[in-house]
Amino acid sequence: MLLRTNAQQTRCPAALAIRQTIGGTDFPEAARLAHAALDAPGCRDDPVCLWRALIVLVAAGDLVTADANADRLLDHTMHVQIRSQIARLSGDLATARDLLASGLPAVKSLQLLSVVLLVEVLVDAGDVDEAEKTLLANKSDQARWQSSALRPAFLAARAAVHRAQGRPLAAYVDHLMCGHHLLAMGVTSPAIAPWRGRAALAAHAAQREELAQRLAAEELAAARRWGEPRTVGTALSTLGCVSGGDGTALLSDAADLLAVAGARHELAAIRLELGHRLAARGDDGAARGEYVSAARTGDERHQQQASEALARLPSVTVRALTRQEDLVASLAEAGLSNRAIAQRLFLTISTVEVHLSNVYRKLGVNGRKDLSGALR
Amino acid sequence: MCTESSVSTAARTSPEHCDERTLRAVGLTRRGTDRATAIALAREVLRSGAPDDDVQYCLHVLTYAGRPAGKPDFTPPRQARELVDQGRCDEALEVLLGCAESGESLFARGRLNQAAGRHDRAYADFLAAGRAAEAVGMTNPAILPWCSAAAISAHEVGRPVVARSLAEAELVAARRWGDARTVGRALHAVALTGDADRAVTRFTTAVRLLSDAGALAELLPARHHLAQALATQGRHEEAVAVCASSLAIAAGNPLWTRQVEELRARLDRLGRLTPQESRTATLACGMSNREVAAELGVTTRTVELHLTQVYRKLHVKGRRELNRVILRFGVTPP
Repeated sequence: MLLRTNAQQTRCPAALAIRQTIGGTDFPEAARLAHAALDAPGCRDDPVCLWRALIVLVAAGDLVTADANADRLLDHTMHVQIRSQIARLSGDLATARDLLASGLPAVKSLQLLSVVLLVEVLVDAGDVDEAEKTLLANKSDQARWQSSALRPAFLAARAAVHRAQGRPLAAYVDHLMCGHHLLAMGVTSPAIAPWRGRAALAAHAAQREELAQRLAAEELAAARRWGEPRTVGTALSTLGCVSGGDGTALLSDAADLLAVAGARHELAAIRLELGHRLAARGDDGAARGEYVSAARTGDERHQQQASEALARLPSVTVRALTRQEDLVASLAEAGLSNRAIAQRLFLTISTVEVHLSNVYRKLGVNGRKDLSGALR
Repeated sequence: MCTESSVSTAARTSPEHCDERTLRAVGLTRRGTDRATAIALAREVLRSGAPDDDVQYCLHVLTYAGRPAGKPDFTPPRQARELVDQGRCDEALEVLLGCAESGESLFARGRLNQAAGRHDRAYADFLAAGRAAEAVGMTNPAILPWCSAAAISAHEVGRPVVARSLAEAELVAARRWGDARTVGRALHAVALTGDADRAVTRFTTAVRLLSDAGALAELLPARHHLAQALATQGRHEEAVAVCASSLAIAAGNPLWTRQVEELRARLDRLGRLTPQESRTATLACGMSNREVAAELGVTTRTVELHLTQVYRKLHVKGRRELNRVILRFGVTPP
């Protein structure tokens, strides 16, 4: 298996990078080793080393470098898989799907990898029936799955299908088995497979709350050891979703990290969830902001839900700001105090206050701190 | 008003007549992927006696790559950013109010809010700057270090998990491009938001890199945080030494002169505690007066007297403020 490294390879930066990634600590160090592997004399012309370096870069969130170097594997089957992973993680599910569906690799083990990757992309894209069909069509390879090192990946994909088809308990069991196999292989990193978090969500859907919370907390601890924004953001959002209480603080931390990681698809889902929770506690202004942001992530699947949620909120007649109100609002947003705005525009402070309260009302926001979102 | 002619906007505005090599150098710089090639291309263009536009773009490329070959004309938002760095916040605000919203102007506004201590708004500005930058495919922290800036703001508003992750993400991107200034800046944020026991080492490396790069604007905050980290560990003499040399570097910069002087005054005050007062103050962080008295083998009355002296010498008003000062700045070891 390409993920396994042996003692002779201790000087190969690509092998070290993979080892660091599997161990799941300190992603900048893993990325540093992968960067080194792309230039190292022993690695730069070796497809296995390049492949390892690219996998590490994808896991470490450095999609820019992965993208700039992916074509160095152009003659190899792994090229399509790496390209499709980069597309998927950048939120371009259509490209990810087309790449994988365009032709299965000749080598059987790589074929299986393409199948599981495709199934996950289809689930992300909301095409669950197609995902299930793809999985079943390759069921004849069952014997091969059983013995293959790809078994965890297969289980994770099957779990994703179960979950999307409304079978959370089956999903939970598959995720746990996936984790069991990974642990046996020495893989503990959520950057390779976030099985604890996924299992937590499945357990939550199956109303096993205590289990869900324990798994989610463990996942967050592991994610923080790795530290990469997408991994940490995903773990935070899982804990936010399954934890009792309010969870909005966890979810907004998660949203910021997923936005930075460019995880459009996950981001849209979290913004929706945040919106629901804020609306439930009566904070319509903040909820509206989250729904609008969800619609803006450009994730088609959630766009529809966001506009429906917006329509359900009590309507505010969004009226255009007058010129003076607009001016006052921009100055307030730029950080000027009411006094400074008053001096600049030759107004009294109370006039500025009146303008600002009109602005808040018209934009449906709670105050100064929400202005920047609303004006943009 | 703002005219956009910098590398940060070149992909949208670059005129078609630009040299092919200029466009490639600009593209690499915006993505932040291949510094060596970008430098080589820009130098080639400059040697070839290219037209003014090309020269401007290539000067930008070389500046961001840490090999300046002259001073390029920076856009108003970028000028605003430099004004904030110099502590001239009012002028920066004036410049900024005339600017259209862009990644650069949002970033500059974040710096302005940060300088005024409005860290929650600075955080939102930096993230918005990042969104604007990514929307136009600009992922080089040498041009817009929004991720580390957001990390520092997140740290200030008490969101440690986000802060750390953002800082480390920028370090990865900074190493990809690889100039000393950009890496030093990212490492500064990592030191601030990461493990406390690695802070001094990381700040020291950051200070060395920024000093090598001659990046004064970034060097002063990094040195300031280094002094603070040394103080937290009880290494007050070293901290005072860092402050003293920082003051020489900060000459003419009111913002940082004030900050460094405040820190030095605080360390001076801590240094005036007697050994017994230091011990009492440290123990008082986690214990009641009675427990402190038992620990030191003195009466409660003596502990109270010591603490009164400590409050007076440190200019703090109560137990809570004392705890904060001691935890943040440590005490000089007796």
